[in-house]
Amino acid sequence: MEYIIDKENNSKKEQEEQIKATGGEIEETPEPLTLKEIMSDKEKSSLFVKMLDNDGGQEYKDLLARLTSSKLEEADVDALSNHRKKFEVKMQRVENVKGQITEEVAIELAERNPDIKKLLENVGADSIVGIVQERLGDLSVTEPERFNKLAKNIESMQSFQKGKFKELQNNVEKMCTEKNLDGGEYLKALAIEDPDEREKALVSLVRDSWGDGFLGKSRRFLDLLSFKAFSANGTLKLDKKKPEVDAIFQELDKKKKSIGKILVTTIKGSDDMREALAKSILGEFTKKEQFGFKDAKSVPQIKPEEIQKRWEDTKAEGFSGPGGNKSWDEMSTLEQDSARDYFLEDIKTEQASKRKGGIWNLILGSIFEVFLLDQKKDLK
Amino acid sequence: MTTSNTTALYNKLIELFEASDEKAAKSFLAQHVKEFPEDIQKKIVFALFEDALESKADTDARVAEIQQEGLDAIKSIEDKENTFKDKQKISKLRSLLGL
Repeated sequence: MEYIIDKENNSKKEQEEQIKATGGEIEETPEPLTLKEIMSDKEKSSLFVKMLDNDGGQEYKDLLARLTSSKLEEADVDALSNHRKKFEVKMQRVENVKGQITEEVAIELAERNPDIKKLLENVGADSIVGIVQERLGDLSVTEPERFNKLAKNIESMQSFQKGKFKELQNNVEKMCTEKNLDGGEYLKALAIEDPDEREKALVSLVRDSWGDGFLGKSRRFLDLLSFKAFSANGTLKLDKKKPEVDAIFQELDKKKKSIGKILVTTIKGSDDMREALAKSILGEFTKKEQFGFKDAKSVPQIKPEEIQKRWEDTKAEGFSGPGGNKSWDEMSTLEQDSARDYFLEDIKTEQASKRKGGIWNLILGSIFEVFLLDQKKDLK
Repeated sequence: MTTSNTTALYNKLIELFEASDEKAAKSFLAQHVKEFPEDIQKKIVFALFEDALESKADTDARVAEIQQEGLDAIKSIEDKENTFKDKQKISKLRSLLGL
């Protein structure tokens, strides 16, 4: 394997020498990770192997087998080089995302999320950050979709601090100040403490101003107004009818103020208020069930009394071993201990086979294993 | 995770699952996180952080959608207002000129 890795390094050196020889300049880029560096680093090599394993396909698995047993072939150089580049890109993204996950982010999340607030109290912001950062490398190679989603979300959050969304907030704020718009009854509605009452008040305000829906209605209102006010060739239909024209200007002003109130609320309200406002205008957001609660719930959970019953049934059947079938009382202490272990292992395997993935299944599965170990002392 | 409360924690969690109360189940994990073994603590912390981040990103994106639409709508209204005013002026002028 050394030969193969060195060959890749040498080919890069040869290229650089060629460039220099022809008077060219070598672009200063960050030193890429070499395969040697990857494989000689415990963490990186583990992640690299996981990436190859996760990417699937028999050819990857064969390559992986040759890599880990130091039996690489000449033809593996190019394949490994491609994988190395892919790995490097992933690791760079991981470092980038790690840098964005800070204690400030955890504290900001805690402002609107009572679970994170409790975690802050129980484990502290620095621990939360450490735990999340530690997991990212592994996630990027074993569950790339989940990693990409998390990366996108943290980048979106940063964008509200200093990117395109921040610019949007600034534009809204500027416009509201210039036009002297206030939140009016929207801010009052958002200040209602009871969440159900607050939602009712908001929905009612949006509906009174716009009917059902705000966004589509604002466009349709303008289209309708154009139709009423202007003829086909664009001349003003109502040029002689002052009261109607005045009414149109008043309507326009009223709509502007109404939209302005919503906009003011989006910048002055707290995160909870913003969420309530978004829900009242855009409706309930259907989140993809990434936690997999329904999947986890569908797995029948085993209770202590059920384990006890199954144990009694198992004991009644007797235990088969090298010496034939034995009853519980005929078994030695060592044999009885092994019997308990096998029994619990069977249950663990049985439950694991029913869990189809998802975060809840992962957490529940881990908790169940610890719980199961605890049952051993009660298997008499 | 001490022996005495392992079963209690597990039983309570199952109870919340059977009641289909995901919110309460998450809250329970956050509340009792330190009572679990370290490897489970890490899973809980990561999962809850990930979930909170997604919720925030979703809300922020929806609010941004409303803001952009609102800004566009106000701009369109002002364009219409200006067009009306211009047309009114032209109409008055034509009237004065007897056209």
